[in-house]
Amino acid sequence: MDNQLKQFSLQFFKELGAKISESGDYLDVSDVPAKFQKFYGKNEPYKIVFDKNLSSVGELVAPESYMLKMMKAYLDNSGDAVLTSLNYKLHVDSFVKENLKMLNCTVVKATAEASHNFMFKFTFQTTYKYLNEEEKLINEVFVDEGLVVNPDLSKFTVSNTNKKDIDITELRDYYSTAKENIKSSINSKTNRIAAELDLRLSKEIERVSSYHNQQIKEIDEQLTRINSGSLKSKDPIELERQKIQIANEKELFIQNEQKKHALRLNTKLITTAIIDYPIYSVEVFFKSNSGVTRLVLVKFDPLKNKVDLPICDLCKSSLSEIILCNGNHLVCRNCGTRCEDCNEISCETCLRHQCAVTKRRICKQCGRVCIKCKQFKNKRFMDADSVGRSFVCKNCY
Amino acid sequence: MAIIIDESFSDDDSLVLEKVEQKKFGSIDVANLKVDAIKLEKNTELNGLVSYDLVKDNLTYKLPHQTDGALHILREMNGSALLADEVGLGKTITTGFVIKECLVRGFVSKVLILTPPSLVDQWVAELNEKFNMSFKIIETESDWDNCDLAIASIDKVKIYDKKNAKFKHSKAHEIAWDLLIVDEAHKLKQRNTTRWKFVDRMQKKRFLLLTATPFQNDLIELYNLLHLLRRGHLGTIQEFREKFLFRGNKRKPLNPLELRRRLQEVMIRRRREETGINYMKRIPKIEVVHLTAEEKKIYDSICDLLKTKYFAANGDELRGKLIIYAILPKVTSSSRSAVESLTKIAESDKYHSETRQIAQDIIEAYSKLTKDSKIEKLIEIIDKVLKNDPDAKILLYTKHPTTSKYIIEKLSPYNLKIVEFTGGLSREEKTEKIARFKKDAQIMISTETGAEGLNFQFCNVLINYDLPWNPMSVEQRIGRLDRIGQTRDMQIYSLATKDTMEEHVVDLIINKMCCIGLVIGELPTILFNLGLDGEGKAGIAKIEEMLMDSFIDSKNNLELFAQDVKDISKMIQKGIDEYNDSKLASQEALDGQPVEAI
Repeated sequence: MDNQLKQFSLQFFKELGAKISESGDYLDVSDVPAKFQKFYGKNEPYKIVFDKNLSSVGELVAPESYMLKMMKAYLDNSGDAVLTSLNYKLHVDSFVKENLKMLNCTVVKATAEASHNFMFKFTFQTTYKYLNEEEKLINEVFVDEGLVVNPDLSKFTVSNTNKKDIDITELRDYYSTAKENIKSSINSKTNRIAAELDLRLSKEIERVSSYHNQQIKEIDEQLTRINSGSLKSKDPIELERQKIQIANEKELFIQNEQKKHALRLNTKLITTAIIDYPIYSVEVFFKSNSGVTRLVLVKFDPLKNKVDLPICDLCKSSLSEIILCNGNHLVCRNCGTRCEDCNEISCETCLRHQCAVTKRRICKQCGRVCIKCKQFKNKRFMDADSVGRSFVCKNCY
Repeated sequence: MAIIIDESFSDDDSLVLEKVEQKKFGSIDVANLKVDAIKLEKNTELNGLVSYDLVKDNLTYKLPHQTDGALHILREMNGSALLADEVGLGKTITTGFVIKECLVRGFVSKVLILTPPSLVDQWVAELNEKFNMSFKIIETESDWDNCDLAIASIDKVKIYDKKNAKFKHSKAHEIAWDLLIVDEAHKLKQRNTTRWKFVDRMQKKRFLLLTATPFQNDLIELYNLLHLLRRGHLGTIQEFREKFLFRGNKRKPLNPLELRRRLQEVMIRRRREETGINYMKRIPKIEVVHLTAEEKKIYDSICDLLKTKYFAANGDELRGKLIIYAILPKVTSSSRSAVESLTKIAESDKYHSETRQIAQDIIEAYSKLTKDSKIEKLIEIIDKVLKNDPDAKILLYTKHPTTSKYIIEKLSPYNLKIVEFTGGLSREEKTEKIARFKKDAQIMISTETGAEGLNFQFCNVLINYDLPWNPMSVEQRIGRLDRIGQTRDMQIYSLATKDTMEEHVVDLIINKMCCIGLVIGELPTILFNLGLDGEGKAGIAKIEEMLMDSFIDSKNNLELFAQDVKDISKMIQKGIDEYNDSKLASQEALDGQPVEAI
């Protein structure tokens, strides 16, 4: 805790632009802006200490110290709205290696380009005040595309940014979403404190009730004695009036006790941060073993750790490995099949034809259509014409 | 069922959102600091006083019983208690901590202190100097408007307007006070008084009653006090009588242990021996000044002038008490201040020619004097003190700056190290002079306004060159020395001119009031109990006014004046006896052991 307090104090006075030097158990702080000195009510320089035993030599910064309270109060109207950037360094090669298994191809080239997305972070402070106690809670709610999310920010660095092309049209809707989320998350604590207060309040009500009831009982006894003739010095009408007065007073005192034991709950928004985070479009240029090439686009959202893998050109399923068919298609294992001639992977689209001679299914690379008989046959049964541009099967040649 | 007041999501949230919409963005580091600060603050436990750091530099001593007491009141008693510490333990400081802590933690915003009239200024000064809190003094009804930190003389505000059947200051009852404090609360011992009813009617969330003597003659007084604080805590009056009242002795509880157990739940009471605080003795030393025949003649002439030959220009007799009240202390302070006042009379055409001539004659008589017996007596005292203790520090008081200058002039041939301390000094100048007095100087010559609220516990000799006729002013003078930290008995020298009214006044104020073994804080309580702590009709302290009136009415007859002083003395003694009684009764019932009376 001491270290946290020290770091906090260092950062605080650094933000103020003060001069800070560390010496042993304390910080010497000078050049503190006059505004803070006035706010704190004491002139600089300050010797900031963190150990209660040293409080006589300087300004104590500790959980219940006045200095910490004033530092906090001084920050109250600052940092309400923040625009920040989550920085993430994408290593494209590693990313491709980790996310794209390749069955029949290799990566020729991979590049990545970042686009920007915005998420909202609402920081709420909930204060419970009751009797002479005060408890404070801090809750952060992240809202991304209208939904409450729970992102892992540990792999990011955060920095201020000056991007102004942010879309804040949904800000208030997102705030409402966050507000509802907070309400439900503080419920259990509210109920626990209320139960404790109930217990104490019931004791006070018991005291008040017992006192007033006893008073009424005593008056009733006097009235009984008046009725029996053993008490003559009292006026029964006056005693009845007193009973009403006591009953009224009892109500008043109970109400007062209820007020004293009330729980004052206040949740307020202390900071709204718009967080800019990157989404990457990774372009990977693959080349198959048979020399076919294909450009593939992969989307990566590092905040949600979500990779939008390419899909099979045929069945549209997400591809866990890259299979490049001889006909330039990206296929999955289900949709890919091997050419019965060259044994290279091809797909159903590309293997539609059988060789008219061998009756085997062969890929486009292995077969040709004879320009004369119009039959699809294995290249082995073909000859090129004199120009070499058209193929004629040996039967027709 | 506990009430939950949900003040969440106020318009302030909108202000934050607006900043986002207006793209007024701040630094992420500041935002993080803001959140860190909240997280670092310990919030639930009231384990220590946050306010202590803030005020520690203003306090001469850290006395654990004061901070512990405040913490106990807040934590264990929810801010409502009977603070019945013995006199001299600093109930004001403990209360100051309670208020400051509540304000700093944000528990309270509206605080009212009801005190005896004579203590209003003292409270305001202490809370301001030690706790940096500015309390507004309630004088008129309109003062209650928009007043968060208020202090009022209970005697002033409790007045009941029978004609309109309401309290004159009923506005006080319309305000929901977060914290109400009543000082010298033993005066709330009777339920049928307007004082009790006024306090009972207040809306108060936290309530502190301060008194060292919760009851005097009858345990019912204690019941009434606690009835105000916490209804039913001691049962109904009938139950209380049955359980705790001893037939035949109204001061002795029937079940003392049970009563004490119940009291402990709502009362804090510490005794001096528990805290290790000891007050030293005040040793009065009246130094009689024997005037020479010439000086006595001048003195009598001045008295005669003011009593019988004091006429306006048109011949009307001037009996304006206020004028005499203003002139009399000056002419009796020193020959220099007397000449100064007489010169004003001699030179002013507001006075009758005969009056002016008499004044002129006295001035001339002064100029022919070859001896100033009072100054010689002073030199004799200083010589005696310094011979006895060469390191002694002497605090010399006079009412008038003219006299202060005169004394310095007269002491100059004696090579004494003197610091003059008068009103109008800046804080830095005061600090410098106090440091000089503490380190080098032998004598500090001060006027009342100069040393108000300052601590000189390193000094144990006080000389009253002249004496205010208001005992509380004298008490304030002695109070500069008689504080926690004083380690030696104090010698209180007072100069009294033989065969003058001063001789009687000094005897009354020093020997019968200020130096009779009372601890600081007890005399104001006694005067308050007697109804003598307020201002009289002429706007000065009641006792001072009584003495002045007697001076005027006695027409230069010293015997008549002496008789009046004797009557006042008897009245004071009665108050002291009653106070001792109540102290004894409180100690017997609350502490369980009898103590010796003064």
